[in-house]
This record gives sequence, C-alpha cells and structure tokens, in this order.
Amino acid sequence: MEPLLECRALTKNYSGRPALNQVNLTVERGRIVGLLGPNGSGKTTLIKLASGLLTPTGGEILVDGKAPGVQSKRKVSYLPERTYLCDWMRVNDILDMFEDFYPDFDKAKSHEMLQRLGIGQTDRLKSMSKGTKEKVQLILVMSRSASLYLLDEPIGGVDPAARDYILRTIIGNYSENATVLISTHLISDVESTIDDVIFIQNGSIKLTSSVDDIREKHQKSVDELFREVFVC
Amino acid sequence: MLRKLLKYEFRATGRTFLPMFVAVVIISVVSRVLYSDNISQALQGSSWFVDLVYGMTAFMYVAVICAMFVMALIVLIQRFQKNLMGDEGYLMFTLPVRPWQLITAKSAAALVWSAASCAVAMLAVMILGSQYGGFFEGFGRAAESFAWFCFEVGVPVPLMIFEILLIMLVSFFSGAMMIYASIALGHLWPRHKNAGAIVSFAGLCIVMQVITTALTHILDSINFFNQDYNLQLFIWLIIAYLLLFTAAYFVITNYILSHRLNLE
Repeated sequence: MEPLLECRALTKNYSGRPALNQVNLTVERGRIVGLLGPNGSGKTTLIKLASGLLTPTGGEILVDGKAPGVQSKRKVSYLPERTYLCDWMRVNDILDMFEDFYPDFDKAKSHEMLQRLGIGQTDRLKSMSKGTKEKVQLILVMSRSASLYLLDEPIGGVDPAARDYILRTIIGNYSENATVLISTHLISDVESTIDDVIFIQNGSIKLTSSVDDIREKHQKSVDELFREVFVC
Repeated sequence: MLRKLLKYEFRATGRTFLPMFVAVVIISVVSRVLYSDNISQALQGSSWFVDLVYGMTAFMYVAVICAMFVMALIVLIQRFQKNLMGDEGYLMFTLPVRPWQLITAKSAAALVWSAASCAVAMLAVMILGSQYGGFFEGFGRAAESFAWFCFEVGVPVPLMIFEILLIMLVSFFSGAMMIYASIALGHLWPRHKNAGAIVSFAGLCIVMQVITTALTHILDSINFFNQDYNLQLFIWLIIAYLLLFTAAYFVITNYILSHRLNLE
C-alpha cells in the first residue's frame, strides 16, 4: 500500500529564499504524527503544499499516491493556522456548507462538539473571538471522517481546558486507517497524544522517529530531545 | 459541485445586492410621489426644509442608482480577490472542486447581479417616468424606430434583439474574465500583488487595443467597411472576437489557479 503522504525532493522557495529544501518524507496510515520545529522551520509550508494551497518549486508531494487535486481534497481535512471563515455566516451556515461539499462530514458529531464547547449553532462568526473561531474551525475539520488530517497549530490559540478536549477529540475521532499530522511547538501538550515525530528545521527534516523509539534510544521525552536538537 | 458553489456565491452576494435593490425601489417610489404634479405644486417652495427634502431626494435617486452599478463592479472584484486569493481562499481551495468551477460560479453570479441591477435601474426610471404622460408613448416610438432600423438593414427584429443581448453577454464575460486574469497574473508577483493586478490589467488593455487596431486595419484593407458592408457578419465577428478574448482570459486564470497557486 502506498504511503498516505509522500514528499520526494520537495522544495519550496519564497522569492528565491528556500522554505523547504529537498525534503524526502513518508507518512504512513493510522498514525498521529507531530510535525515539530521552531518558528519559521517550514511546518506550515509543508502542510500547505499537501493541501494544494502552494505549488512546489521543485520535487513533488503526493497524497495517497496523487498530486494535490480534487481527489486528494476529498480525503484531506485541513485546519489552517489562520481564520478562513466567511464573516457573514452563522455557525449553522458553515456547517451546512461543509455538509454540502464533504460527503464525509458528520453534522451530528459537530453539533455534539459545539455543545460541549459552549458554542451556539446560531452564533454569528463575526462576533466571535479569535479563539472561538479556532474552535469552530477545529470542530469542522474533526467532524469529517477523512483519511488525512492536517492540523496546523490546532491548539496554539485556545485555552488549556479546551486544548485538552481538542486533543482528546483528535484521538477519539479518527479511524484506524486515518493519519493525523499536527504541527505545533507546544510539545509537552501533544507528547502523550502522538505516535511519531518529525523534527523540521530551516526547511530540512532533522529527524523522523516513533515516540517509543525516542524514549528507548535516547532515554528522553520528546520535549527534552526537541530542546536538545533545536538548542538556541 | 458547480450548483453548490453557485448557491453559496448567491448567498454571499445577495446580502449586498438585495437591500440595495430595495433601496433603489423605495427611493424611486418616494421620488415618484414627491414629484407628482399636485403634490409638488402644493409643497415645493413652501419652506426651505421641504425644498431641502426635494433636493435630497433627487440627489439620492441618482446616487443610489450609480452606487448600485459601482457596487456590482466592486463585488465582482472583491469576490475573486478576497474569497479566493485572500484568507477565505484557504477554505475555497481546499473544497473538492476544480478551479474552473470556482471561476464559473463567481462570474455567473456576477452576471446575474449585473443583469438584475440593469433591470432594477430600468424599473427605477419607469417608476419615476410613469407620471409623465408621454413617457410610455416614448418607449413605443423607440421600439418603432428600432423595428424600422432592423427592416432597413434587413434583419428580423428577434434576431437583432438576440444578437444585441449576446453581445452584452459576451462583453460582460470578457470584462469579468479580464479582471479575474489580471488578479491572477498579479498573484504571480512575489510581492505587491495588488499593484501587480493593476499593472496586469493595464497590460491586458494594451494588448487588446493593439490586436483591435490591427484587426480594424486588416478589415479596412480588404474594404470590409464599404457602403453596403455586411452588418450581420460584422456583429458575429465582434461576438467571436470577444469570445476569443474571454476564452484566453479564462484559460490564463484557470492555469494560474490550477498550477501556480501560492496562498502565502
């Protein structure tokens, strides 16, 4: 079976400056993967390339064996690091929109999560705080039964209580064959959630490993190893 | 998927247009009432305040109709610029739809709103004009002149109307696609993408102008515009010419959105 996400000599430049440099990477099915690196290391660029929002400068990126396109977008559930919601909508409108476009969207699941986080279905997106909008986006993304979840900084902007709920939701929601790729620098928060890690720095992959291997080989937690690898 | 995109496009834009249409109709009806003979004779000049109301109403009538058309243009630009190339593009470009469907949905909705704006403007003129006795006779005379013109050039009236509507339709699409292509070309600029869009628009205008001039010269040189030139052929040449540009702009936009997208 082909890997779910594969990068072959993937390069991305912004105005000649490399953001990703000859990245080779495979991500398998059924894993929760932490994409970890300091600010500006290329995490967001990698995720946006996989979502088809950026075009590679060189090399290729494949989702389930295919370049990003309509087919991959059906399988990928992407949470951007910014707000992409249309301000004029109410929560209900955006739920309807997701239900319309994604056959794998489970509205009942989203209702349950909204209720849990105290967000009303008729609330206007315009009058929401940034953190609440982030929660709504995460609910939208996690209410799909996708093959690949690409979560760019899913917990950065929300309070710790919601953070725990979100992480529990991520673990609880995804099916056996689905993979969740979480980019973050809040390592201690995700450490107990993830199976594998990808360390990325200056657009290059520094390390890929399972969390168990890190603990066995290095006798360290992921957080400790991260501080060691990316020491300033 | 196109149908669904259209649904959301109409929802997003209807919020702006429908209140505007209502405003145009209300101000037309108010103007009609204020300017009807007996009321205006009784009221006008009675006090400075009444005169001010009259002045304001006349101004509003013109301003609201102008604003409606300006808004149609702004919405056309903004729905592409903001909803696709801005932050909302993160949602639109991760939906399982093809870029050509996004372009088609945006331009089709813009066409419907522009046509509706024209219809509402005509309605506004009719509401205000209906008080004048000769107003609708004037329409009748204009229609007769048009029929006479069609007879003179030997074209059946329905065909002529069809051709005029078709020219308006392709003109709209060539204009809309030119704006989309300019924004898409501006997107290729590493920085200052808005400036890039404006420069691209100017560039496309120049290219179109050069080709038009060249074609006119060619038609001139083969003596196309002699005394009894073929109007029908000329109309269809214009339609084909506009369609060709529309197609070229569409291809440019679709190529950039499909193969050169970089939402940074």
